[in-house]
Amino acid sequence: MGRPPTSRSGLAGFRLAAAAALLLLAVTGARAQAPRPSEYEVKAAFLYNFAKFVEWPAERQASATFTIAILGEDSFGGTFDSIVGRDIRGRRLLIERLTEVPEEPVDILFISRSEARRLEQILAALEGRPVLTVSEVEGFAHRGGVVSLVVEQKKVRFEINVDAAARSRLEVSSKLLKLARVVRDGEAP
Amino acid sequence: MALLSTRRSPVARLLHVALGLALALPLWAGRTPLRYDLTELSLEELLEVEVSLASRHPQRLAETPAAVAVLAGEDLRRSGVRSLPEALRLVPGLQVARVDANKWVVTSRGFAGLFANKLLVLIDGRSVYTPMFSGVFWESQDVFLADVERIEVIRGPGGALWGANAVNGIINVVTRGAASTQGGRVEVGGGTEERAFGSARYGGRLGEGGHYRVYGKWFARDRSAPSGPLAVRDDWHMGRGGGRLELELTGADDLTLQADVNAGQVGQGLTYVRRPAAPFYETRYFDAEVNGGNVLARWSHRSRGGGALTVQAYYDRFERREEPIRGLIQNLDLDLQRRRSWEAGHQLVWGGGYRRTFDHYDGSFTMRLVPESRTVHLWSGFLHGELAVRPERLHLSGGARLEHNSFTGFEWQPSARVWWSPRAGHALWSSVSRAVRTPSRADHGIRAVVRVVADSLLLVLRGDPSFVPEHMLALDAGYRGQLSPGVAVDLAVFANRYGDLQTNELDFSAVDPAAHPPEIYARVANEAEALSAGLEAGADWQVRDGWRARASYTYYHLDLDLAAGSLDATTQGYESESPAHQLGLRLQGDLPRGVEVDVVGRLVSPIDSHGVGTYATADAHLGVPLATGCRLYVVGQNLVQQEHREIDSNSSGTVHAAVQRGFYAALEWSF
Repeated sequence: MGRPPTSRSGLAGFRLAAAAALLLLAVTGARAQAPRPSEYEVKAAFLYNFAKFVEWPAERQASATFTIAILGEDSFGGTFDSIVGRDIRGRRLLIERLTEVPEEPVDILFISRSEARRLEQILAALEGRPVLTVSEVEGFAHRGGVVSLVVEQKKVRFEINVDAAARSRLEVSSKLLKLARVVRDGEAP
Repeated sequence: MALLSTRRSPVARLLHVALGLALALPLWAGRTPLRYDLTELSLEELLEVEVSLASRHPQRLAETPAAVAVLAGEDLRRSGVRSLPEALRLVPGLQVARVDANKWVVTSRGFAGLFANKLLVLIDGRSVYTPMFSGVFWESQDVFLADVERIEVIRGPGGALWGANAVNGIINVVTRGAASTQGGRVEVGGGTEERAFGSARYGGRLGEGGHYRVYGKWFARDRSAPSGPLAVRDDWHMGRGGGRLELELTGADDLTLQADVNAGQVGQGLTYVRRPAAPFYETRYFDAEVNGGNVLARWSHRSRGGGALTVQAYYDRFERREEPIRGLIQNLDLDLQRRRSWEAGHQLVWGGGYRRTFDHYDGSFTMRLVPESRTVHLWSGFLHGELAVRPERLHLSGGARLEHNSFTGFEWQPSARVWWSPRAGHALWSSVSRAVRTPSRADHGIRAVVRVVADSLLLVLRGDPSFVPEHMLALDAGYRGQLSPGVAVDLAVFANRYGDLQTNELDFSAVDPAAHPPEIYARVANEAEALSAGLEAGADWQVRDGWRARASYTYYHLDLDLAAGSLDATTQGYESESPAHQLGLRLQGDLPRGVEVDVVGRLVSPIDSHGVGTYATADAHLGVPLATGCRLYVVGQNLVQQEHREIDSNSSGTVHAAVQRGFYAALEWSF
């Protein structure tokens, strides 16, 4: 069966378009840079920064280790692998993955989206403990958590509930407060 | 057969050079440090980093021991597609061919045809597969694409988890939760083929733990170009509206309620045997009237220690009225699913369901169903487990589904899978499964005058109640790997063996010479078997900040054999109805000031039996933000040729049409 006349012009058009596209890529991507990071890589970097710019009460500062724990579904993957063991003001950084609120002390607790329904119970269990609670759940800071991580227009932003931080006996550096959206208890979202 | 000319034209040479450069780039990337160390950045710098929202659960997708692809809502939005079948073109491995302005052939791994019957399609857990002819009326699945969160496509049998009729694949459309679609959104646009369209959606809160949204949409589409001597009048319009309500009943319970209604008029051009006397055939143009509605309720309960219970019930009504036949189908479905997961990574899912399908058809001389009305009861139960033999390294999974259909009795669909990751970022998987396609109403009771033989005899296709389910055994294997931080590769190969495939047997023993005019019959039977094999490959390359390229290639081959003594004359046509090769390329670019540009191209090899040659198409989309919350889109579709044919539906008499080049512009405003 002979080839219908239309297919040949179609092929030429496609070849031209494909060549142009690949050429554009080759020219503009002269040196392939690292790809755009995932939101969890950026959130992990924020957690690391919170560890540096928040002060925990004396009893925690005396500990040899600094623990960042992830409660719930872990979307971070291997993101923390390169910073485990680093020094946080004389304490060694450890990462833990948990399914329940821990009895043992932790310094930063990241509450995953998967635990959205249990937020009240989790925060109640941590009341009075010097834990920096961070979550990506919508409105976390307004619901009594300390730090909310939000993705807005492809950038990660954070909100800090200063009353919740005070209740957990945490002192947030002014450097961090300056860049955060400050939230108080009882404020509407 | 060569798809690209081997002549040394300047364009070909340019292509070779560019290809060489493009392929060399990932090698350069290998020399830079593998991890992007964000901890080196200051707080201020971190706040300026733009993240890719590719997938919330990349690990989950990578750990699935099946050929799965997920189309994110973001990709849908940027591609400029305006219908579900057009959106499915973006999924590697699927064959989507446009018959005319309102009909598509969508299939996975062969057996294409307007009545492609081996694909299960779900929208928010509701099956849109029609039991009339075992297929999908794509023109009625007018999903509000802006509110689609993702479309999951599994190529290959999914009978064990999803049920019968998921023989060659499953398409699962998931719409966004009401909490993610708060506020208002209005869109208006128009163009040459997408004549006019508009939509409005509003979402809000209801008390403490409630969210809702309501939406409405409407569109009118232009007719396609004729590709034969007959005129084409396939223009159509359709409206749809609905809403969704989500309530947090307690800390561990959610309730979701959804409802939709739709109605439309879909232009048809059909050449068929309308009268029992010469000239027999007539070409008729009319509007098929379609309308439907559904209401769905889903309750999910999360238990401590990683478990979930989901109970879902829905009612679905679909009506289609066109000249040869009018049909009404009503489904009532109740479904229960219990999921348990363990910290070690093991999972167990089990459940069951009941579906009651009632239908009624008003036929004509040309086509009717016997009996006119029927009620089918379907009971099902399934069990599926995953064992993390070595967590993140070796997972074994398996399961089976047992169904009882009031017309065909028991069917079971087992499946076993293995997933192995020798090194982080690379995984191999393999599976063996059995799937069935239960008989449709047409298989059991169609009476259709197919054509006139020797100018005086009518050839009538007759369904047969003793038609048994088709079955298949599939062997699948695949590889998924992250070759470098920006390059991911996905490969799947498969071999399928089909048995008891549907054929149309000329039945000389049942010739009725007394009928006026005399009739000879073709009986629906299960007299064919087939062997198919193929390869699906995809590559995803994050070239640099804001630039992404995705390529896919599909190879397919089918060998169909009729049983000895079979008098079927048409089924062998399936062998050439799926193109042997398909090549796809998608480019996405983020330009400064929020401008987005996307280009999608496809190259498809011929379907000789339909006289459709190799064709290439390209779509381009440009999105420009105007003010806060306001966006302008300009889209060009089928740009390569003024018009081209993709497939015919020879068996149904639809007037042959060609897809035309088109442009449209739209304005979107969110508040």
